[in-house]
Amino acid sequence: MKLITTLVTGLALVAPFAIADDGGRGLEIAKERKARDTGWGDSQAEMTMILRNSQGETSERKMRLKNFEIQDDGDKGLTIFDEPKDVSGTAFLSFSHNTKPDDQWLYLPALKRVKRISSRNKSGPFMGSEFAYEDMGSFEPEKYEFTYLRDEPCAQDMTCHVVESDPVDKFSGYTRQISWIDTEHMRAVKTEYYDRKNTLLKTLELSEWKLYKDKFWRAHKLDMQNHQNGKSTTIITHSIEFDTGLSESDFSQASLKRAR
Amino acid sequence: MKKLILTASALLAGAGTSPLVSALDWSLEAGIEGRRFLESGAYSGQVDDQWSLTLQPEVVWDAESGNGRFTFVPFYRKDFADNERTHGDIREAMFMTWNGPWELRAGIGKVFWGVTESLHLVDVINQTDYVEAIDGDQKLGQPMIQGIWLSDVGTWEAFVLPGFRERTFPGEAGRYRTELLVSDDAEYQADEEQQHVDLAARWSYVSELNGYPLDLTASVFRGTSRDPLLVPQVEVVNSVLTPTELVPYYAMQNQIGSTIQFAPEGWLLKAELLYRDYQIDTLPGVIEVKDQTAAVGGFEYTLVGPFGDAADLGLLAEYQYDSRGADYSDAQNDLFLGTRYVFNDMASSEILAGITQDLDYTGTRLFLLEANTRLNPSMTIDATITLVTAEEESLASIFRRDDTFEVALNFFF
Repeated sequence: MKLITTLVTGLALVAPFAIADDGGRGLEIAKERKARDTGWGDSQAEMTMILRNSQGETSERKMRLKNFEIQDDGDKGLTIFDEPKDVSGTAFLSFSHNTKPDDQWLYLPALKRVKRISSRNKSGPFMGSEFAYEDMGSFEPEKYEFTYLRDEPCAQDMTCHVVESDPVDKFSGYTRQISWIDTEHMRAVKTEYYDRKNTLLKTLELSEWKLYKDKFWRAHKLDMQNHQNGKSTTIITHSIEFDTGLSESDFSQASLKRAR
Repeated sequence: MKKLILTASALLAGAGTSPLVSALDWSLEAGIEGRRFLESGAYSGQVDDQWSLTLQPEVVWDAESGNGRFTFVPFYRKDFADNERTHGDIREAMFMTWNGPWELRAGIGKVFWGVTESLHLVDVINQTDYVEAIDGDQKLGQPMIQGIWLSDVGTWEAFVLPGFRERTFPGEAGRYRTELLVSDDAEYQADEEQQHVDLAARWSYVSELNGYPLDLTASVFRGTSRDPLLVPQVEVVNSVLTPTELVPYYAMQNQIGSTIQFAPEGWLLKAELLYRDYQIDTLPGVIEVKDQTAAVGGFEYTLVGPFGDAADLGLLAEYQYDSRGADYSDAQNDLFLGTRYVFNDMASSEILAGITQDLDYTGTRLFLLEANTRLNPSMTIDATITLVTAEEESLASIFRRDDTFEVALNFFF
């Protein structure tokens, strides 16, 4: 009997890894997705974020995003808020990393103060939206363990790879994400986020794709629906420009203080 | 923010070339503030209700090249009770230009140094606008030339500070004041008085310890102390020596400061350290001027969604120490405990509550509660409750009858 118990326990321990064994297909898809989006350099975008509560009331935030690609690590991003006017000038700086937690800072213009966001807070809401701070960083394959699930038809007559991504970081707000990646352009067109209790928390749908520099696809509409609280957030990109002359020094705590 | 396109070339070039357009942005913040003091003042002439209006326009001109800017931010408060609180200031009038790792700023501006929440020890560039807020968060604009250089071994900043700003103090009708009024005629150790040129420098570095972020800064300052020593003046009235007023004395000082912030997982561990060497030992009236060794340190820990909704709960604890003791500082041996409740709602609602307990005078403590929310896209409301309990021997006893309920409406155009 003792032997059987040990054997069963042993099997139970092995089981999750056995399921995850997809012959490396999931990781391959993730790496291809990253490779297709490599070399874009820098970009600047203007966006509106629309928050919607469960009663359907809305509130708008206007913001500008500056992004800078880093070759051997995660990308750098700077988000500057223009509206509502009481938060005008508030800016958010993030250094995504592939093997360690992202560095994130918030600049409060009234106090001229830069505040670090602790790495655990990454699962918290970004500026009151249904996007978490961790959703705002760049996609880095090293941050997840991947499992290829299947191919199936998805939005707009496309075929998608369906891939599960399990965050490596124990302070992620998610146990897993299921992403639909279109087989032609390797774009994540939809992602489901499962919370720490492994129940469906949010669904992100990306649409209104446009091609830049003949190579890089950007979604101009992001819809994040929270299934647990009935709230949703839409981010609409009005414009994106590439090769705007940004340099890495435009993404520092010092430059955060002059962001606008 | 309204955007006025200035250059004709921008209009001719049409849409789509927007990044290199020089533009003038302006905005306006206006406020109405009411304070109700829960007890009558400890000193004669003090009011129980205090109403005021504020106005703060901002004009920003961005250079066509994309690496230069001029910012102009004047500020004015009309206080209907306290003449000394009615005041104007140029918060900013700053030219700045940057190129790669270099940035140069010249004009009037504000600089914040620090990491802790309950006390700002090393923050020395700007003078406190005390009549605005007793917590020292509001500052007067400081004339400066600032150079910034980003290097692989940290960010280096150098400051030349021509022109000194005197701290603001309440008038006779005002609250949060000393029994004797503070004179408008300050005295200086420096022969140049307000024209003395102060110097400062700061190094800041983002490092790592065991894979977690470690933020370090070290700073030096040489010049006129922002903290005045208040010297009582005496006159003979009816053959009796009678104190009449307090004269602010601004001594020369050298200071070194450091901030440390370590962020393992959900924690922010913070400390500020200060050593301040005054260039004078005693003042007329035989007041000893003590050099200051001070520290404040503690943690901030945030619980994300502890109540199953979007709200975050931040827990704060900090200890304050000052070597000069309770006769010189009210942050000499004190414990601050606080909590920050962030609703993460559409209205960006937040509540901050904290208590600072003096450990030398156990009957002395300060309770503060601040709540704010957005009423509509161009209007916010702040409510503040300040409660002071103080033993008679402690410095804070001058505020013992200044418990306050304050509401401010802010309008944004």
